[in-house]
Amino acid sequence: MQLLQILAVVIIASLLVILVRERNESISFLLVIIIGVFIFLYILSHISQLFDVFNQIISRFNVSIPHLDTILKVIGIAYITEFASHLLKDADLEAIAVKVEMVGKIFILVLALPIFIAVLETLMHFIPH
Amino acid sequence: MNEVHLLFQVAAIGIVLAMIHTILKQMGKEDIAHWVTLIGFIIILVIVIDHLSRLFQQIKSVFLLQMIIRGLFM
Repeated sequence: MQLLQILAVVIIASLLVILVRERNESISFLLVIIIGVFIFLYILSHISQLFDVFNQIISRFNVSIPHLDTILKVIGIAYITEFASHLLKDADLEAIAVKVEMVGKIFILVLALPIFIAVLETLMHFIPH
Repeated sequence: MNEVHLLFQVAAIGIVLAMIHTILKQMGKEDIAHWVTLIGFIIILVIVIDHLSRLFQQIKSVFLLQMIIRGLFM
């Protein structure tokens, strides 16, 4: 039932945004940011529970998933970049939104580099000299 | 539930600011009106930035973005 609660809050807040947008544009954008932040905070609490369960499963059945922390980091970066770029898109700042997404991709690439290197090394071992 | 309170507060500040702005404009004090709107905007900006930093802190802790990447990120 928490879902209905959060949906109600979001609908009310969006009505507020429309109300405030008539009078001054900038404060309505701040209101949009606050709504996004609240939704994210709400989701984050559930996601951290998810990750705790995930870690418990790993430790209990000692299934070792390689590079798990890198995967988590990549998810985190994607999360934040998408949050920022959609906010900017909502404020009609398309150019900056695209730049933000590019920055996010670069960071993910940098983060995933060691994995690429590991894969390449294993491939090189298969090829006989 | 305090989110809803905050949302209503920010919306209320926005609307009150707009009203003050128009009232001051009719009174002829145009420049004070702009100053009042600016100050109100800054107050809301501080509130938003406070919540944004809390969100970023939590994201860093949830997604383990802290440990090795300290140099890369911060």
